[in-house]
Amino acid sequence: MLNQSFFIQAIWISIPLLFGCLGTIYSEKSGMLNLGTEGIMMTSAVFSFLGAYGVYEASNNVVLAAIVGVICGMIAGVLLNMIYAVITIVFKANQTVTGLTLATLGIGIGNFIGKANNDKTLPISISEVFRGHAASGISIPVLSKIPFIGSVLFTQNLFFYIAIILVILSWIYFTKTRPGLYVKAVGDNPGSAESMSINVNKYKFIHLIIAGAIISLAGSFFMLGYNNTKWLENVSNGYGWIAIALVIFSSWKPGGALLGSVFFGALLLSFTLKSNPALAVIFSKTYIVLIILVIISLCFIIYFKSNNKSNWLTDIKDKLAGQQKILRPLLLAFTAIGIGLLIFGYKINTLMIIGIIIYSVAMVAFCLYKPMYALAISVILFYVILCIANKDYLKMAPYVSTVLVLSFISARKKASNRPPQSLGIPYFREER
Amino acid sequence: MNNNNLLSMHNVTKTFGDVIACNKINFEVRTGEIHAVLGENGAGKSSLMNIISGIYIPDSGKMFFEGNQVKFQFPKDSIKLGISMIHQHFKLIETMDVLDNLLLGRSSTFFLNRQRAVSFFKKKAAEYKINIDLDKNISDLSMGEKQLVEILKVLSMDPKLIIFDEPTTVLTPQEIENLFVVMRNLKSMGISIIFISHKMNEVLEITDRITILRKGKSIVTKDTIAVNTAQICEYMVGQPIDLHIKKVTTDFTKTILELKGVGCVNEEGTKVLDDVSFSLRKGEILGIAGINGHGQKELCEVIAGIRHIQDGAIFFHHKDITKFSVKEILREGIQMSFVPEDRLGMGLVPHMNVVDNVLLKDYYKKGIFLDYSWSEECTKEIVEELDVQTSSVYAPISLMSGGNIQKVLIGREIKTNPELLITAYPVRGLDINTTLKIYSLLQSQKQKGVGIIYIAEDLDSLLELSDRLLVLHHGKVMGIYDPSKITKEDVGLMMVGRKLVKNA
Amino acid sequence: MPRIIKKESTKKQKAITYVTGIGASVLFIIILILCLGKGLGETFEILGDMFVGMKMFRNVLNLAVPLTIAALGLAVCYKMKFYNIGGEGQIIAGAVAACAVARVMEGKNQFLTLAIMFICALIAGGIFSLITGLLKVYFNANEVIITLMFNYIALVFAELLQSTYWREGAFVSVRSLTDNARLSNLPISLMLIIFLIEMLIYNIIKYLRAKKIKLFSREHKKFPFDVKHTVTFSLLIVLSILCLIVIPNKLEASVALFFLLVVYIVVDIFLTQTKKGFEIAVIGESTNTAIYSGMSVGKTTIIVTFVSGAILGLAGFIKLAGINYQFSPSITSGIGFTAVIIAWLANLKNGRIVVIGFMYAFLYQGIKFVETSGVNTSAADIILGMILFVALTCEFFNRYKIVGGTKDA
Repeated sequence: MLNQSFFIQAIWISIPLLFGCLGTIYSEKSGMLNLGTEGIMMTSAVFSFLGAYGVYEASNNVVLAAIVGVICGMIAGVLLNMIYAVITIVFKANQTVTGLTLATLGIGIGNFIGKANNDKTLPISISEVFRGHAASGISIPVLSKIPFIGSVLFTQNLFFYIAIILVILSWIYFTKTRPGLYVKAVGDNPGSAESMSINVNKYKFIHLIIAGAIISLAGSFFMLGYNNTKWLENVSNGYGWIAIALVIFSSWKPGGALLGSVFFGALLLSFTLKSNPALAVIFSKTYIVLIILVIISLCFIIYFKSNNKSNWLTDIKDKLAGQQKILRPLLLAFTAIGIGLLIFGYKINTLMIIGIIIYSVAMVAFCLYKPMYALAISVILFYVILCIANKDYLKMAPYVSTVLVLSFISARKKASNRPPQSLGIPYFREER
Repeated sequence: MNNNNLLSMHNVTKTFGDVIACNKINFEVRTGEIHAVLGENGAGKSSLMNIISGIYIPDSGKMFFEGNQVKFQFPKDSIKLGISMIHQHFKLIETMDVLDNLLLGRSSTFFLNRQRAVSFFKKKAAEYKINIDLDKNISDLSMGEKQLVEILKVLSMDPKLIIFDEPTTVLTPQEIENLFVVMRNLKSMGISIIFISHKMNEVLEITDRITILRKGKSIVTKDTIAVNTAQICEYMVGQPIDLHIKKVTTDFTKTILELKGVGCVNEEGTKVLDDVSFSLRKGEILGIAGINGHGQKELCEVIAGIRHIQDGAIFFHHKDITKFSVKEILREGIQMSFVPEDRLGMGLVPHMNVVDNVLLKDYYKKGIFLDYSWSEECTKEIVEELDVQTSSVYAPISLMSGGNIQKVLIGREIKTNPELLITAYPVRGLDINTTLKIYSLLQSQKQKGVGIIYIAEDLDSLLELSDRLLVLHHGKVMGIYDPSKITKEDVGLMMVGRKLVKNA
Repeated sequence: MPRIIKKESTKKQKAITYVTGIGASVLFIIILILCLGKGLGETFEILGDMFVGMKMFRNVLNLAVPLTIAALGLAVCYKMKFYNIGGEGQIIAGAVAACAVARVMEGKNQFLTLAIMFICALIAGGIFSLITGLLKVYFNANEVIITLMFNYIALVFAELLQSTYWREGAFVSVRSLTDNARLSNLPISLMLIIFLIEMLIYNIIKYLRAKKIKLFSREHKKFPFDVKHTVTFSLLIVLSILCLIVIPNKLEASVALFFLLVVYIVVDIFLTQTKKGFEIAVIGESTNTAIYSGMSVGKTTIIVTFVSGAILGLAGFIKLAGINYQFSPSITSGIGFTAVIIAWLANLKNGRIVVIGFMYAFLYQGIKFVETSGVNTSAADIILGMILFVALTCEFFNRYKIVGGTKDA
């Protein structure tokens, strides 16, 4: 269940996600949509492995090997990202394709060199540099004595502490320093930034270097900070792609990256939780599922029709919009009651049916008034019921939530949570 | 070098492919003066300013600042020397607040000290009598307030020369007054100002000297007190050319198009069309004069169905087409053609060949498969009748010269036998032969009974060709006149905002 | 200081850059093999071995066909500048639908089973892709990230199927398809010849129609084809003859190749001859012109995403019913991502996609064959990556040129 060891493990999983996300935030804030995170993780993993191995064979010094390993990984990650930088900034190539190629190349390099060095093993003692002798983590004096939090947060892998420090430094960088402000300008409006005598291309390059370095720490973590002693094929296991999703979730803020990666870590681990099989009966009532799906489609249809030409739907919509203050809490209450009855009344059929009817009515009204909300609520409800039925669906959670969050953000006009405006667009000064 | 001159430019030239933006321009600005630069669109003002501020690199010529020769590679080179520019389209970052935008300009330390910055900017603002709230988000400010932020940002870089590019276009009258107060303060502090504008009364009110550009050349520089509006207009529009247009007359009476109280707001929230009303008869050419950017583009787009309007209505043969999109106009069988200002960006697809581009007008007819028969016939006719020079009609259209591209565009639009033809700047950038050909084309269409809206910058052609002339200023109709009863100077004055006193 | 400005390049300049690009790529491959510590002589021996490996035609075909179909589907999207990288997810969607039908229809008539599998795969792939199109049109969400996420949603669902709903016995696997759900086999040499001849005929007809040449009229006495097309067509004929000679007669593979043929012809006709195809080209080039001409960008986006998703679903169907015969989460073998790169390398031109798709399959299988010599399969990824980087750089030199600084008066 949701006990100590669950959280400890969740944080372990969140470490590479955090590095990946934080690094990608740096590149995306400067306007570069770099999809190659997975490749950087793989390449840096293999090079940190080789670096540590080489130094250990030569000197038998575990700490030195660990340090050199991490540095080698960072150099590899930075160099790989430099290829991307040159091709997208100097040669103005399409960022999406270049990023994907970088990922393919990086994964290829990682597996290629890894397989070729399949025979080499690292001693467990290297990972103990990061995990402490008890293999449960390096404890911070005093703080680790706090019940529960002490063992979850303050007796952790060294990489976690490095990550926290990086998050704090990044937060300071983005909010309190001059280059941090400049990079925001570069990402939002490079033309304006250039007219303020900011060298846009220089900023993009530098941030891609930083991004490469930070993401490579995830690779080093996989090989050195865990209990891997040999090369594992595809050691980064898709975490690079999740990190890209995380960036959106984190609203391009370092603090968000920390919270988001722990949340995603917990999500990825959540399928190990025990579920209440009785609840699964909700899903087995096919008509409930069908009704929810119908409502979702209805939302779409009503949304299209009421947005285009004027007809009876837009008239109702206008009337409802006028009643906003009363309507919104009323509808929300109805929806909550409906869902509540549905889920908690799972033992009694009638309750479920009543719940579904109330929910449907509320949804239809919502559709006319604010279809986006209705759609979002219905999709989330459907997904939650799916997860209750079979907890393996929770593995999808990071991706589903990213899609929902991104759709929501892109549709709204609120400025502060939006992505950097020039994300993915090549910058060209003398455009006439 | 003249020691009074802060900035001087000698024989500066800048070309973009075939177009000569600046043609051996000589220009100078003294210390502590407000110097206006006037000229129609395409006269070279923006290019000249971009060269001064380091955004463009000139092809040839010399530039001197404070007595030393300078060559700018980046905008920051000019900024370092003390030249700043406040653009017409503000270079502010919408997602940040005022303080952050100000910090973009000035900050030499690694760590931002917001407290210190706040007091610094509050002091500077008080010095120049600028009133803004530093905490507000840029997206919440009015245009006037945004401009004040730009000015404050520029001031924090200790400029010696500030270029204001059409600063009053987006301001309310009160905000304009405020701006002038600020500008006088700047002048008293010894900062020189280059003031680019189209509005005569403002130029006369605030400036010390005026330089007039026309077609890329600098025509004249005079002290403001030594000129009057009539002279300025004459310099701007030049001597009349005899276009040998033999005007034809028609006697149709039916009204084709009617606009009533049309108002339109653009994406940035500015009103681009304000209470526009007029009607167009069959077989009539309605000329529309006005400085570029005063609503002509939007006017065409609202009639063609590309843009929505917020107020008013549009009628075609008394049928309400206000809410019609382009597709609906086509479907209803309304014969309307539009030759847009942006030929390769809107009217045509640059990388496709001529036949494909002509097909754009015809492809939507019934059926799944494309039918090139009309398009190929049409292309052959256009090439023959308009004498289009091209190696092959199957080569990308972007390889053709500007004149030939325009011939294809106009030819295509005419081939559908429209009842209403909207043309925006149809002869811009074309040689004299093609220009005359297009004029005669318009006349022959007029004789057939086509109602034509003719938007142009060249006042001579407008006066010669139009049956009636509408003058547009900041989206408002200044008046509709009989061209035979009006002079070029009158039109010029209306274009810059002066209302005409005599009757139409 | 040098500056970069835009330009249009002539055919000759483009050819030069492409040849340089190919040369650079070959150089990279040689350097890579050298880096592994093999001598120069051994390197050429390895390259030679790769050709021997290429004789494994069945493997080549099994890789090339779904890959090329996927790339063709993606190309439809890219023509409209809708950067769909959801290939993996859409292929899985098609495979899932096909497998579901196969399980329901075990033991029934083969043709009927396959037909329904085919249709369901198309629809499933289409709808899966349609959702991302809707999100883009109505919420303006960045399609790159959305399609990427849907890939993983599909992948998790596939894992779920294998571990829960469709699980067989103690091991985590799905039972293989019964015989009636498998595509039948034909000799490869026969199929390849038919394929090549059909491509030849289609392209000849297309060329003649475009140039409006009637073969049997009295007017045209001279040879109707220009140099480029003559070379292409003769190459096709030579290849067909080669197939007869080189490929052993007994070697068989599924009839998936015919699906490729059909998809190619359908996509080609769709993009070049239909109104929708015209709209796609215009919208991709210039949205302003599209709106000016009365085209509806949103509607076209939705149709295009559905069509491309359907084609990718078809690739999934082929993978399942013609190659793997068993559903598993790794049924795509990374084809979804590789297809993105192939479509881009081929500059979205249909014919080139087929050529490059097959070339990639040859290269990949050749490298796999020499695995025993110590060059492991991940080398294929590296090589493909380097080639693509070279190609992207070449595109730059085609579109821009570098000029010197200013001159004084």
